[in-house]
Amino acid sequence: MRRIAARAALAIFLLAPAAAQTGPRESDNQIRFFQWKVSQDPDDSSWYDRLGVAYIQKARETGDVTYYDLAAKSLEKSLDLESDHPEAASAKKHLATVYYANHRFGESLKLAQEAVKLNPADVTPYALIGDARSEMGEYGEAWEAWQHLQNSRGVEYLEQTKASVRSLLTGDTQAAIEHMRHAADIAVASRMPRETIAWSCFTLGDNYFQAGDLAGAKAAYNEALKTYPDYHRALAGLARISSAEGRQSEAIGLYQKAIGIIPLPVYAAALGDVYAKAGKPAEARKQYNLVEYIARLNAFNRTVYNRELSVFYSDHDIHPQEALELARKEFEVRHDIYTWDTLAWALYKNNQQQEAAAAMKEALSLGTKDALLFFHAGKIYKGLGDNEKAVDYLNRAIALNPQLTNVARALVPAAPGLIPALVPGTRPNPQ
Amino acid sequence: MRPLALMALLCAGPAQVPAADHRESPTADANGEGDITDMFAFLDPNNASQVVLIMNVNPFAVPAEPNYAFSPNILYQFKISMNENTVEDLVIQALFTNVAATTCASGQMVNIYGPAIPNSTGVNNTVVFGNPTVSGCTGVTIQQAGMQVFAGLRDDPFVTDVGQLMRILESKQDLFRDFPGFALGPLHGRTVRSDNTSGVDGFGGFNVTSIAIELPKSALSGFLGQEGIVGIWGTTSMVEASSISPMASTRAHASQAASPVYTQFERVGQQLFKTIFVPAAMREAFNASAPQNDMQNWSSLVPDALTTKDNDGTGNTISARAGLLATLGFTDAGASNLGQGHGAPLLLPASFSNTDVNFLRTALLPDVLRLNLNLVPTGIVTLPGAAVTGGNTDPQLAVGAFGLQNGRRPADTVTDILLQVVRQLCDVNFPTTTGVPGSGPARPGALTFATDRRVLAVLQGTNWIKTDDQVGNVSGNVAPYGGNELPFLTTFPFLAAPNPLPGEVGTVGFPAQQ
Repeated sequence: MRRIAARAALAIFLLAPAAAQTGPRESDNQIRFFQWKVSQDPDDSSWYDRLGVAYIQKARETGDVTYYDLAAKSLEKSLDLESDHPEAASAKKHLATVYYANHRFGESLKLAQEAVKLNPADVTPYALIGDARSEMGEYGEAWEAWQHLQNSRGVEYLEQTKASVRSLLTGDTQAAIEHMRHAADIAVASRMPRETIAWSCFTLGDNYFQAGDLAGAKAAYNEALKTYPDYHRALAGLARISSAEGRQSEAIGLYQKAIGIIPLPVYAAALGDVYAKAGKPAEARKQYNLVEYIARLNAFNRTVYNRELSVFYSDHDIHPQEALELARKEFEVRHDIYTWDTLAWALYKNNQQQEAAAAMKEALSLGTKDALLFFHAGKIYKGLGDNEKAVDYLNRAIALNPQLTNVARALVPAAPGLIPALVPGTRPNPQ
Repeated sequence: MRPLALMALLCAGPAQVPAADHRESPTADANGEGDITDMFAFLDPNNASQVVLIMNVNPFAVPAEPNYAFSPNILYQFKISMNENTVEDLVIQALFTNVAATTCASGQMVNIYGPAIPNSTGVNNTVVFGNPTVSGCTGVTIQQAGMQVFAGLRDDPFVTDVGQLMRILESKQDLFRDFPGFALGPLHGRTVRSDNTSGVDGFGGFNVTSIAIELPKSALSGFLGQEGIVGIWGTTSMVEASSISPMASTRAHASQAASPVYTQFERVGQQLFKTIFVPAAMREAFNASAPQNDMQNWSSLVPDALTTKDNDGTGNTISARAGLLATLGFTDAGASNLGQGHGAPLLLPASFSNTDVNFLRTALLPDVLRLNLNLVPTGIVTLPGAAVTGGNTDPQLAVGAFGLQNGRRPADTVTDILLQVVRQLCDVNFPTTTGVPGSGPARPGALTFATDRRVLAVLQGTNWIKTDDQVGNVSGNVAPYGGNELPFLTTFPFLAAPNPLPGEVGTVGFPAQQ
């Protein structure tokens, strides 16, 4: 009873940082509506739950983390009123979502498990359990949790999105694309709110990008923008492609537009890089300063952007010691392969090659086919003097992202077997 | 009754946690488009030769979310039985397709098949032969083939203080309305507001999506038995093992050859039956079953009824229950006691005649609405309501003859009807120490007062959403519209227009826009 309307609830479990359900006007109206419901019956736990969901949506749409605080307060109030019966399962899983967004993965996991215990009929918290486990590096347990989504009616969208993540992580990028395409189809067919559809298309675009299929990625990002104009993630995705294809001024415009909507550090860093490529070091510097400013703006940002800031420092060869400290701080709460990669990358930049190689081995342990992982691995093995492995990984990186060709060739110019510079318009087959 | 013993009982017992009709089982819960909230069946008050059938789905549709629709993957069916076997003799089927906005502004088209003899009865069905009887865009009234059809967003007409109901069942409160002066000690509930109401309609402000169909009753009466009563229930079904796919949205009109087999995952007949009587763990199975087997499968969930005969030696009769409710002060609401009442007037007279302990079972099962097509109402709009003392005389509410009421009209105060029927007729086992009729050792077939919070939930016979002077009026479309926040329409499709966005024109009770 009083389960959140399926579509509204579903997006909460997408667990992408900005996977909002609806446009700003809709989430504003939801907030107003459930504020009214709360005023009508302040003792009803379910309306605080729904209000919390609306605040989560608003937080995701705007990037304004104060909405997460409001969401947490509303959900905690709901649980104050009701925490023992199956009805409390909903507020628990939504509060778990807030904790997940705050990188409190252990607490998120615990709440999602409690939600399942209170209401075993609702399998959606397993999506969260899998997400938290995944962030904690407990992949076996994550796959097991996501298994619960299979063959359950009404959660096909979640099933497909999680299958896509698993496929992507385990190196079957093509399957990840298929699952995500299916998820996007489900979102359209079941008339999910347009921002959910846009998020599905955007994620599909990212999967294409990871496979090295820039045309597919571009089409998917454009599809997202058609559904949800000015969708910041899709704008940033297109900017990345524009930059990769050498259209730097177009990339600058797209990144600026994305930052105008949500000033995420990763966008500012990317924009800075594009400015640098375009020969505008002063503009690049401004963006790099912005990265640090945003990442340290408040306690929340200092918690959730550690990894991004560490990677930024390592990528730009600045503050290597701090990059390592940030990576280790992140590692306290997160053990997923990308945190291992961040740690490996920071260790490499601090000339701790053996430790970097050990961390990189963990980052590659699932068999993920990601050009950046391969590139980091190549550089680390080059640092260790293992040219054979370095060339192998750099070839894999180039196969997925030809942008890296020149960087790789500069790194190991005399190495035999390194893929030659590409003829424009051609692309080697991904391995 | 001994005060201390009763108070101990009121504080005891594990909470039972049922759900409302809305979102009441896992599969229905996961498929809002197929989650039937309510069924309605009544004769058109403007033309008694016409019958109106309504099925609502998509519970808790928030006005701020514009995307509620019907699923192209679900077969929606009104099933109609002409005799007591409760096997469908006729079906009216609805299928939806997604279409371009240039074709239908709503983005969906509805195709109605039937009324027709079904290809198969029970829980596995196919679409009946031929082209649709009615076809058109959702969101507007379609008039074709002597039928009117509306499929689209409407105000949720269901009225219940679901929040307080849950608190009672979960032992956080005792009654719907506070009763501090109760002779045996205070009973906690909501306080009375200045307008002498105290309940809150938990469904207020929400919308649903409705399929409303009006057709000549002659389309059904050719099959009728002499008594003129038809059984009506709604089902939703999906193709087994199918997954939602955009391909479904382009499905051509179905025919028998093309129609897949749809398997039922939800059914609804009378209001709140599942909520009150079917434990959550059994609802999935209940929803997947056919009403023809209800008596055999589910009658053990319904308690015995009181009779005119004292069958347990404690004076445990209908008359004694009426007296007990009055003595305890639970029947005093009315025009002369505004804001001071602690219970609805009796729905049934103390002299109500019943000799069958299975009375409630036969009234509630099979779980279908029972509509007498020959009983022309004095008017859904003009029905004055019932006398508030000495028993309800509304012929539309002849309990037993029609289940809980004759069919179901939008303005019928169906929650109160169920509460009042149950509190007056349901056998309850009180502990021996109380010394009241029905007390003594545990008896099979009776609700156990000490452990079953449902007894407290029904004690007042109302959830106090209407003003005290209206509590006794459980039918009729007079203000306050059965407690609904919006007035019902006087013509097809009868349900009120959907609630607007918060703060917009037509909004009821929202705070002013900033």
